[in-house]
Amino acid sequence: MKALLALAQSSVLVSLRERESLFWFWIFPVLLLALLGTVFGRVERGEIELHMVLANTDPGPLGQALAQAFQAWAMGAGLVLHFQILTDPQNPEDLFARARTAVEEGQVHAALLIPGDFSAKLWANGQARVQILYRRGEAGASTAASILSEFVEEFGRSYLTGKGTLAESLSVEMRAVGGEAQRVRYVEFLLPGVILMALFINGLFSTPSVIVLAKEAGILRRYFATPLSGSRYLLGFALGTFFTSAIQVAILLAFGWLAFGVRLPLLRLGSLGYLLLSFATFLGLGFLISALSRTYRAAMALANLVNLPLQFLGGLYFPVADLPDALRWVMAANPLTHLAEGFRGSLGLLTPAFPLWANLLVPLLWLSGSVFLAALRIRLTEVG
Amino acid sequence: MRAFLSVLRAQFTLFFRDRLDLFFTLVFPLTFVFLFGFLWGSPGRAVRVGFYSTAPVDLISQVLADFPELAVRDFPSAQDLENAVARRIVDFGIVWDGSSLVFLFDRGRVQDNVGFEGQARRIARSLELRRAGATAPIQAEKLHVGKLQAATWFHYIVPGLMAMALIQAGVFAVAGRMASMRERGVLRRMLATPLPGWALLLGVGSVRLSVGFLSAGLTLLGALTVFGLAFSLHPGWLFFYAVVSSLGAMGLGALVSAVARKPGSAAAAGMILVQAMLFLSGIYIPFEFLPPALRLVGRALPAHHMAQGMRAALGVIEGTSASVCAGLGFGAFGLSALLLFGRALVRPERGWPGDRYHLRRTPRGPSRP
Amino acid sequence: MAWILRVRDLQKFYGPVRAVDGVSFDVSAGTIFALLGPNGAGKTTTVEILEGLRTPDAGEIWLFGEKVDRIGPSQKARMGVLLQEGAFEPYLRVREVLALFAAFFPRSAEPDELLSLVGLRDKARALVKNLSGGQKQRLALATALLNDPELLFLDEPTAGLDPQARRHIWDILQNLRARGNTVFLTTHHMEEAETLSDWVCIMDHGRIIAEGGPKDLISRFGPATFVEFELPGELFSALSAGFPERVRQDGERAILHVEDLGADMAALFSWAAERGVTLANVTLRQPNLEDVFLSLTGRRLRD
Repeated sequence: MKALLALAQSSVLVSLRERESLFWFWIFPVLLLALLGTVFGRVERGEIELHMVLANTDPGPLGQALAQAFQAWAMGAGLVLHFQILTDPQNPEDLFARARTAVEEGQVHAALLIPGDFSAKLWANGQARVQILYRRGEAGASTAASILSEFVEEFGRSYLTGKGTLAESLSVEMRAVGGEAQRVRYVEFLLPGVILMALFINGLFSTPSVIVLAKEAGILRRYFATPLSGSRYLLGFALGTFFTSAIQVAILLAFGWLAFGVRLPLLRLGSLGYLLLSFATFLGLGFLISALSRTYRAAMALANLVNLPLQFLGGLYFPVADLPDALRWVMAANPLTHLAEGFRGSLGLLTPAFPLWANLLVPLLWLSGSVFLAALRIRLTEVG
Repeated sequence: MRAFLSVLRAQFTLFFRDRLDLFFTLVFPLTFVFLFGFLWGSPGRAVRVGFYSTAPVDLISQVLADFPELAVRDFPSAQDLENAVARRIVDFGIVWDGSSLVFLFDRGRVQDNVGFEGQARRIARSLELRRAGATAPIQAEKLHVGKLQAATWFHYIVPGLMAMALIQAGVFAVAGRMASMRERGVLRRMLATPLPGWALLLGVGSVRLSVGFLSAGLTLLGALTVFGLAFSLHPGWLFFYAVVSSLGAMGLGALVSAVARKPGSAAAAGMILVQAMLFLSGIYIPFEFLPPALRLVGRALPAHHMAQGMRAALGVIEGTSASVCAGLGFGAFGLSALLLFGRALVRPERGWPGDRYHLRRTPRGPSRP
Repeated sequence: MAWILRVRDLQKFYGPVRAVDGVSFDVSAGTIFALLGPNGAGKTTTVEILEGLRTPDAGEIWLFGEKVDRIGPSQKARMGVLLQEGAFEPYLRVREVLALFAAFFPRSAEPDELLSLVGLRDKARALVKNLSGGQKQRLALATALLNDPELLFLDEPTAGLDPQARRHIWDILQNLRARGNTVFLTTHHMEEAETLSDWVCIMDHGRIIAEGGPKDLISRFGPATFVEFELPGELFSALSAGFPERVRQDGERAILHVEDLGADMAALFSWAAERGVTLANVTLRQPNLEDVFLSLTGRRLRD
């Protein structure tokens, strides 16, 4: 027993002192959380900075009204919009050309062109057209175009309401279902993902790296010249990894709370259970990689091979609800998917897309599979 | 000349024999292409909408028919619909009781919901109009004025990935390969021969550059063949940006090698640098979505400009003089950095800081790498 | 005296290579036993089998009075091991390493005591990666002594150390013997085997080719002396002719094996005078284990 604790303690000390592990293990997840949380938090709150231009060539009042309404709406909508209203009824061609160039060259994200017959047509036929110029495929431009498009429809609606056509308004309610949280912010969704990612990287990279290097460098030989057995060593190592992982999770939670005000209800049986299961599953994978790799480079190659597909196709960062069918089975077989769903579900952030038994069974299968194979193939010393 | 050619040949052979190296430089970018392609490259799939109504549906059916991008599915009860939304079997749900609309969204789909809510508002407006027997007074015609007709976000990503492949290859050509050669004593042994230092540098550099080109090329090929993307290639600009990206990246690698004390940490530092650039250059995350401070940083990064240059070279956006200047600047920086630090790189005896570590290796047993 | 370790017909093959080819010996308790031989003789393989790091292909081992098929934790608890090749975690401090290893044994001494013993007291807080080769070696020795082992295995304990450090370790080993511990060491250092050991087994190509107390082994040469002097290479065959079967060449030096010092020296000087050769750098010395090995194999211990 004291051997286990001593090994665990050494493991923690080394992890805290080694420069490379210091960065990848401790700092990187926090950085990732900070970056993604900030970026997508802004998207959520609409704090994206967009540049638009409104080119109004309508001599009548309605074009003017449209432009002013947009101004008022944009100010109140909480978006960071930079827009310019260009008016020149005398030279509509010229104005439109300028606006078009601005969009083509990327100076603005989108442009709204109000033609000269806007008011006239609207009075006469009750129908008028505008054009929205943008660059399709570019995220900012598409967003700007959507905003302009939506605004135009809203304006149309209030126009009709003003005319009395839309007497009765429709009651519309937007309601969120699933999970228990009141409102889920992206950071709240992200934090469990980053926690799982940190545990995953730890298990997949750190574990085999330490073990295989220790074997290659001859550190393990010295251990096994003493009464220490291989299984004790691995248990001690696992214990040490458990402590460092716990500290890591604590740091991420603290950062999430301090920087973003996120408080996750972690003190639940389900949540802690999923955390523990995740830790064990990833550790198992790490042991398996250690067992299958004779050199450090082979271990890292194997880990990298497995890493990215599992992470991206596991819904850690984005809910991958719309994968083509070919990849859906990958998702269903991926332990990360189930652990992420189960973990987030237990935190009340969503309703898991898979039933409970699947969320528990798939990781457990991976865990037992890896441990079994690892036990068969692991060679901590050259006993030959 | 002969020396240079033999170095070239040896390095190429080494590269193709080293399967791990091969994997990382070639397969890795491809993995990204496929990953992103599947996530964002497929033509928009239908939005799945669940529907439940307690009132006659003709009106709302007509409305929904106006939106061909929706795939509507009926549900027998409100509860069933809620479950379907919560489990993401459908993207969102509509409940209609004849006079009010309730839209149901999954709490967890924080990002997608932005789009779905917009969709919901359009449906609501359309329903309102139909009920009043009116039509939308203002038609907004969206016109794409960008260079490439069928552009999608994936079209923007691919050139960015190519730029990254080139930069990555360039940085690791120096910070990785050269540094490890120095560490393993291979460099010292090679320099004991009459081989001139510049030939070695040039040889290794050429191979890694070709690797970078290959990597970027495969990325493009993957995008073209698997996802059927169409670009309008400008070979001249493509070559230009490929060369300056690689040169500049090698300069960065030289810089990193000079600063990093241990040979191993040069590669690690290089990796961190490359990853950081990836995130901040508008390649994965659209520029507009970054906070202003980070956008400022991103704009200063060469990766951003090289990605823009690549986009122009592939006909996705208009080329700008800013990109060209940035390219020239980056290339010039790379060249000068290489010249400056290259001398130090290929002369390990002259007190290169990294060798303090190397020389201290004791004869007793293998030390930790 | 009782024996603490007994080995009979130990064998270990690696394909066609017979690393250990039928080795047998007894180690008496409370002695220093040396396995002497050149690099590649099979010493490390032998000792690693006894330490439990490798499995033998044939042979029997009796340890601590009992026959053992496998060196397991209960045997290891009574042994101390200093490996020739191995490392410590670079980012642990010296004292932490000792504390870690101490936890592997049922009972162990205080780390600080051992640090004083091996002369690493002032390096207790140093990180392993900042230690010199000699200091790491001493740390390894300290870990081997943690459990006050009845039987201590040392594989090339002083290789790569400066003479002062070597002497220091010899003192430690002699103290251990005085206390009643048994030391089993392998070495290719003739002086180490001669000065330190009670019993020497000379090993070559996987076999024991001679064994005995160091003085006994040497005395097989009889009351002999070696006369060494500088001689140009071309005169060597003439010298051999003059003193058949008693001359050996070692680079620029000739070595003459003499038994009757007075007579042989006179003969040598007259031989030299006859040819007009000046004998330079003449030294007289007693035979040593190197000479024993040489006479047995025709090769040197160190090549």
